[in-house]
Amino acid sequence: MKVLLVEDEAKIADFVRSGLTERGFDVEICSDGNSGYERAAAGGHDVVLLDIMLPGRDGLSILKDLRTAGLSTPVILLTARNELGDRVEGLNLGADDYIAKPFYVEELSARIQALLRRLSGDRNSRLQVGHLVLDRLERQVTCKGHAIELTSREFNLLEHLMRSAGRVLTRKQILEHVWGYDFDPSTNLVDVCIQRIRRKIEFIEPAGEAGSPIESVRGVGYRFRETT
Amino acid sequence: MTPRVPTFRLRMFLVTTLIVAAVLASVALVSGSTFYAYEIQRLDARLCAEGWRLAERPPRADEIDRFARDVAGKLRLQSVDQLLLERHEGGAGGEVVYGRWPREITLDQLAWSDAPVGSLPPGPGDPVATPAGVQPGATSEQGARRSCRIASLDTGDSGWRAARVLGPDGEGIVAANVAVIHAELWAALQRISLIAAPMALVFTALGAWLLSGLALRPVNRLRDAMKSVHERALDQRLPVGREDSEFCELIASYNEMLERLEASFNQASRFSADAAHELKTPLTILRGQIERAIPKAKDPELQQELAEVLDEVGRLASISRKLLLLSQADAGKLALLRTEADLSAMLNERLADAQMLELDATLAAEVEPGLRLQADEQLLGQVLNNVLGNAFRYTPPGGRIGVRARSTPAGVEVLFRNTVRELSPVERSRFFERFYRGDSARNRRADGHGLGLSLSRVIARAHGGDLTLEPGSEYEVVLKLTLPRSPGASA
Repeated sequence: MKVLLVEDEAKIADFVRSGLTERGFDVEICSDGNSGYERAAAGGHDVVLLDIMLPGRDGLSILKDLRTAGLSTPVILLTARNELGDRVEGLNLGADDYIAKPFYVEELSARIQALLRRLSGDRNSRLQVGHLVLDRLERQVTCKGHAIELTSREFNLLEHLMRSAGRVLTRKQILEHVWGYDFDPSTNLVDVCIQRIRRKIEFIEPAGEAGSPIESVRGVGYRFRETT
Repeated sequence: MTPRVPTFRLRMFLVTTLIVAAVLASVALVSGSTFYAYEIQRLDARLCAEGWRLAERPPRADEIDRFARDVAGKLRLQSVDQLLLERHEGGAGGEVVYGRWPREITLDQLAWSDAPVGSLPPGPGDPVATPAGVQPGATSEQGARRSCRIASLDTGDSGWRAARVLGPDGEGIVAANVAVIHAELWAALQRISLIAAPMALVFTALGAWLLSGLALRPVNRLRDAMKSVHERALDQRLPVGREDSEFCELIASYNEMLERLEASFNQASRFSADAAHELKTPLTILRGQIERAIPKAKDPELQQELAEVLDEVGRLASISRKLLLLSQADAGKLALLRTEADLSAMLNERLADAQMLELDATLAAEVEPGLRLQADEQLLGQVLNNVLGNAFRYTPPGGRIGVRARSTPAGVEVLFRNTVRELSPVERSRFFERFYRGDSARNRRADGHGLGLSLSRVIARAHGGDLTLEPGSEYEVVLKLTLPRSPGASA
């Protein structure tokens, strides 16, 4: 998966590159608007991550010219200044998604994957980690062939954990992804929800020595156990 | 009952009418007294003439009645009762007394004054007719000046005017009752006060009412224009149009004031926008680097600390995001991405969270199904998260939380109510204030900043609706969220 990141802030570009590389992306970086436009127009990327405030020319004008030139590479905007306005204008100009700074790399990665899945026509809507199989389209989860009934929140939380399998997610990260902005971070919604998912899974596959596939990382958050 | 506030128009009307009434009254007074003085002067002249006639050519005893009638006619008296005559023997001719002279008055007691020169008609044959035998000095003086002196006498029930003429042969005294003049004056005053004055007043009042209305028209236009400016944004200006120069100046001053207001408002708004934006880049870097460091940290304690720092960074990010949204909303630039949103589903999802939390509170929800509206789903979700989040957090154990959502002709209305420990009137009045926290010990907002409700209200208003704190007891918070179905309609 080739990702073009057009971002002038070197430190941001740096951790995004390392984070995405870790998750299996191949990241190319451009640090100003003009070279960013040239590289994007040259094509060959699976997704373009476009910062809006750039030296040279801004991200929205790059996006506009790319679309006018007929380039259909999916674009995700990284907005900072006028999140809502850029979101409206960017989507109108043909952006496929946007993510507001400051973002979690985990969230950015999830958005890129979701976007690519959507654009590839959802040929593979199934996600399997260990014995758990999650079907996004059917919104069904099965364990060893047995269906598990989950609420919408539980389903979204489980999907988020499974997609980030092997990595720790903090409660706040989970809360923001599943519940959205402004939900009281002091509630124990995440913990309660995870307890419920665990119980439902254990009903079918009792936790053995290894414990539940959803691991608690003390003081940090939760991690979905990767199968080895 | 509030006292009726007098309008400028009413005041103009009353004041003008009062002034005109006062002017009319003083005009009537001045003209009345002038008229009276003039009439008295004319009467004096006639009295002198008649007095002269009486002194010069006294009537014979059998002619007295006829003479008196003739004098009364010349003095324009209504009857001979209003006439008194007296003649003292001087030279030739006899003594004459006519009419009922008041007994208590002796002529010499009266304050006689000389009649104005010219009020006496030329005496027949004078001064040639001066008889011989009288002292030449006195004769010539009396004849030349034909002395006539005037006095007023008051008999208690009516006033009299008397003339005393000293002729060569005797002294003639004629007195006339001035009631006739009073009567004429009174009649004239009545004509003025009953017909002319009311008509003048009516016309003036009508004119004042119409004129003040006319004068207020540009003010009313201005008021309407100002109202429409207020409803929109600060960058609106009033059109100067074809108003009169006074109003042009007023409009110009108002526009200038708006300009200054807009400039300082924009500055403040830009400042918080810039500050929030400047925070975002370092926050993005911080968040990214901590996020990367957590899995690398082998020591669980270090991992835990990093996670805590990450959450704090998240809190900062949340504050700066809200500040930025608030400053954009203040500048009227909250860009909404409207899609068809299912409010019922959004509410039910959050109510299910409440059930999952197993709160120690009874939850009563009444959500009409299929409440759909054109709204920014992300921002609307934020409003619901905020309002419901507060309800979940602040409802004391054993309390009640109620949510009722229903459609209204214009859109939807959602009532959120929950019991609270106690909400003082001060806290109530500052409910939507930014960064305001109630009693910090008891009411500490867990995310440490009181921007959520303020932002929620701003979002509701950007949608054309509102979020209001409804009046209620101090142990209950009732928030009403109204939203129009589509951008065009108003809630």
